[in-house]
Amino acid sequence: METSADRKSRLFGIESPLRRSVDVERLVDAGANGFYGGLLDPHETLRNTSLSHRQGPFANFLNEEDLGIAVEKAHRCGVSFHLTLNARLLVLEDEPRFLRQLDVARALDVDGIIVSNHPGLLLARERLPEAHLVASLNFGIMNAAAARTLAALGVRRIVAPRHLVPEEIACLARAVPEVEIEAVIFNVKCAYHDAFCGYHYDSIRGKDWTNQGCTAVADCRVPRMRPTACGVCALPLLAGSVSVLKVVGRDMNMDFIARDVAFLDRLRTLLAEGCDPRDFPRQARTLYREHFGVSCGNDCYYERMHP
Amino acid sequence: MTEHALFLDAERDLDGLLEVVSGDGTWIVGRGWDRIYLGSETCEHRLVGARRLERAVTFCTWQRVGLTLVTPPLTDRTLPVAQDRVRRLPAGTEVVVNDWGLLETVRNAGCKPVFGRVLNRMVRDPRIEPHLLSEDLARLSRRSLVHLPRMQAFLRQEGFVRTELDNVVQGLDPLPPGSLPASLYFPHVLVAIGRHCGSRLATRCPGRPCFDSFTSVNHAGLLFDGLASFSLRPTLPPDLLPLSVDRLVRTVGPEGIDWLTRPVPEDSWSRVHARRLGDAIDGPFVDVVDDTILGAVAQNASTVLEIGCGTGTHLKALTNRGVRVLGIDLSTVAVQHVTRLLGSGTAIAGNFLDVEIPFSSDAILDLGSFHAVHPSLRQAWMARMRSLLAPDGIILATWFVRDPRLTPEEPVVLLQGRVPEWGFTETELDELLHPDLERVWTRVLPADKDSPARRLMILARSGSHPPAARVVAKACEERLAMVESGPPIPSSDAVVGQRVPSSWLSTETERKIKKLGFGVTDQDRQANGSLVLVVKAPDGGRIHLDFVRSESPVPHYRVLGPYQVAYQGEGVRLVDVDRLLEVLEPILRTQPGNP
Repeated sequence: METSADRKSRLFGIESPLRRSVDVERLVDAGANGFYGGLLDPHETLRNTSLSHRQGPFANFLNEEDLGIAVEKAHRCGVSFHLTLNARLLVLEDEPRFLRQLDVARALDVDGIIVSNHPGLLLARERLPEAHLVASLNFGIMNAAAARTLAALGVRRIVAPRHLVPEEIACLARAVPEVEIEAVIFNVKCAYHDAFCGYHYDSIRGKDWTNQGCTAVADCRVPRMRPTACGVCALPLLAGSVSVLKVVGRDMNMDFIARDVAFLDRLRTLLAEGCDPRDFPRQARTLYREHFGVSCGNDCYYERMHP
Repeated sequence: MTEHALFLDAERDLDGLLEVVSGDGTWIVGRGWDRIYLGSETCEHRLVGARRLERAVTFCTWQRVGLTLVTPPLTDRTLPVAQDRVRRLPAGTEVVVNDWGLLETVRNAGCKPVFGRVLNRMVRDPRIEPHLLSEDLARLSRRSLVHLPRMQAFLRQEGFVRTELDNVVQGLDPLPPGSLPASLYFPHVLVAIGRHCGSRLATRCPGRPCFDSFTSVNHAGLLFDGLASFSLRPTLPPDLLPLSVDRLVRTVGPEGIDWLTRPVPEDSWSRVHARRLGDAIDGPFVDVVDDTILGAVAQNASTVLEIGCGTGTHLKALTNRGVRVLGIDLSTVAVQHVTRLLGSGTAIAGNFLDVEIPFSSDAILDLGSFHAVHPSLRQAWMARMRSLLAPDGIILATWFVRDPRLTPEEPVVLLQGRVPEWGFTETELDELLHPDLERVWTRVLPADKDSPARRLMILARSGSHPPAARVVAKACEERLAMVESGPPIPSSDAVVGQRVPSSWLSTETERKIKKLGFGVTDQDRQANGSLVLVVKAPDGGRIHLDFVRSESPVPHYRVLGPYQVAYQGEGVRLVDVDRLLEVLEPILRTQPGNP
C-alpha cells in the first residue's frame, strides 16, 4: 500500500540553493531533496566575470573544500547536488576555467551540471558525458519541440521559464516525458524572461553584484522585479507533472530559504494526504500565516492562463 | 557590399508599404532597400497572417528584393501557427529563428535558418558605461554567443546560414575567423522581452494596440513595444567588416514607416515636449548652445527667430538680455509653455513653412529642426530661412551628421523612439544650402551614447562677412573647449566638506582589520542607522561596504549580525572579504539601536 511519504516523493522534489556546507542538514531536515550551487575560484577578484549566473560570494561556495564537504553530506543524506555553471554568456578566455570547474565537479562526485547556453552544454557533455545535465532558465525553452532539441543534446532536465503559467508548464512536462521539467516556486520573479534579457547589472557604473534598479523603469505600467514572490497556490496544477520545484535565491539569507523549503514540504504533505485541489489555495494561505507569522501578501509568482 | 534590409511589422506596416509602391513601381529598389524583414521577433501574437505573408511573397518577387520571415519565441500554442507560415514560404526563403523549436520545420521546408538576435545572448544594457568596466567585464560585454568558435561550428552543423547582432552601446569585438555572415540591427537595440504587454499578461494577446511607451531606466532611454523593451543606438560601428556584418537591418519601431512616406505629424512633437516637460527623461544630452554662445548672439542681434524653439530655454536666455525673440514650433504644448514663460507673442505654434513671421531677424537659431524636416520639404525650408534673414544676419545651427552608409531616406535618429531626424552628409549639406548662403564656421561634435555626431555651424549670406559671425564663432570655440574638457571637478576638500565622517569601529576592531592587511580609509554612520565602510585591500584594491538594517531580506545583501551588507570594489580577493566580514560581525552586534 502506498504511504503518504511515497505519494510525497511522487508529487515533486524540492531543490534548494546551497552555498555553505554547514547548511546541508537543516535544509534536508526542512524537506530539500536536492541542492544546487556555484563555486567561486578563491583567487578571483571582485571584478572578475563569474561562471555562475548569480555572482559573488553570497551566492556561491568560496572554495572546493567546502563544496566537497557539502556534496558528501548531501549524498550521505540521500540528496543530490547540481553545480551551476550557468553564466548567461561564455567567452573564449573563460573556457579553461569552465573546464576546470567541470573537473572539480567530477572529482567531487557532483550529481549534475546546470548550464545555460549551448557552448556550455557542449563543453559539459564532452567533459562529463555521464553527468545529469540541466538546462537552466536561460535557455528559454517554452515548447515541447524546443525541449526535444535539448534532449537530443543530452539534457535530462529543463527548468521552465518563470513566465510560463502553470497550465503551460504542466502541458510542457506532459508533452516531453523523456525530460524532467523543473519549475520555480519561490522568490525573484523578474519582469523579463531570463533567456531574453540583456540587462547586465554587474556592468553598471562599475558596481558588482547589485541589481537594484535593474528593471526600475520610470513607467509604472511596466512589471517590476518581485524578490519574494510565492507560487504555492499553483501546486495542484504543477504537482505530478513537474519533477522538481525549485526555491531560488542563492544569494538570499539561508534562514529564509530554509523556511521556504519547510513551507513547501508542508504543502507537499498536504497534497499527498489528498487535499482537495479546489480547497488547496485556502488551506495554503492558512498554513502560510501559521508558518511565516504573517498573512499571504498576494505576491503571486504565477499568473493564471487567460480563459 | 552591405545589404540593406527594412524590418516591417506585418499588421502595422505592410499595407503602408504596398500603398507607397502602388504609386511608384520601383519604390524599394529605387530607395536602396535590398530586402524586407517581415514579422515579429518578440511577440508570439504578432506572427504574420497567412494572407499577408502571401502578399509579401508576391510583393518581394515583383520588386526583386529578398524576403526574410522573422519569428519570435513560441509557446506550444503558437508554434503550429509559425510552422504553418514557414511551410507557406518558397524554398530558399530566409527565416529568422528565435526559438529552437522551429528550427526543424525551417530546415524541412527547405528554408534558410538565421540565428536570431533574441537567441544570441549579449549584454544589451543601455546604462553601460564602458569606461567603468573592468577588463573582464568589458570583454564579456563586447561578445555574444556567436563570438565563440564552438558556437559557430554548432550553428553550421545545425544548418544556420547567418547570425544576428545588436548594435550595442559598448561596441562589439570582431567575430572569429570563418564565422557565418552576420546582420546588424539598427537603431533599436533589443534590451529585454517579458510576457506582459504593459501591465497585461500576454498568454493570449490582450488586444491591440500593443503597449507603447518611451521611458527610462537609470537615466537611459527605453522604448517599449509590446512585450519588449528597446534602447536606441543611432551610431553604427565604424567598421562592419571585422564583425562579419554584411547586412544592416533597419528597425522601424512602433511608429511604423510613416517617416518614409510623409512629414511627421504635429502631435508627435507635442508628445515629445509633453514628456520633456513632464521631466520623464533626464538623459545625458548636453546642450552645447549655452549662455556663453547665446550671450554672444545677444550682443550682435536685436531680433532673433528660433525655429523649433521647443520649451523656450534659448528664448528665455535671449529675452533676459533684452533681445526681441520669436519662437516657432510644431508642438502646441511647447508653445503654450513658452507663452506662459515669456508672454504672448513670443512663440507661434505651426509649421515654419506656413506661419506668418512679422520681421526679418538678425539671427536665426535652428538647433535641431532642419535635420528633422521631411526630405521633400528641405528646399522650401532653406529658401524660407534665407528670406527671413537680415542682410548682416547669421544662422546658428546644429544638425546631425548623417552616416553615408544609410539608405538615402532613412532617418539617423528616432527621437524618443518615434520622431525621425535625418541629418546630412557633407555632400548633402552642400547641395542643400541656398546658393545665397555660405558656411562661415563649422565644427563637428562627436557622437555620444544616445546621439550621432552633430555639426555646429554658423551660416551667413554669401560674401557678407557679418561681424556677428566672428563674435559668435569665438564664443562657440570657447564653449566647445569647455565641453571637451568635461565638467569642473570639485576639489577633494570640497567633497570632504560635504560629509561629516563619524566613526563606528572600535580601536580593537580597527587593529584586527589592519592585521588582515586592510586599511580603513573612511567610515560613516548615516542618519537612518546604516553604516558605511571604505577600506584599502591588502593587494592595493578598494572595497566599499554598505550595512543596512532591515527586517525583511534585501535581495543581494548578505545578512551579517543585525545588518545586511552589500559591497562593491575592485582588486580585492573574495577570501579576504570573507575574513574582513568575520572581523566586523561582532562589532555590528554592539551598534546603537540594535534589538
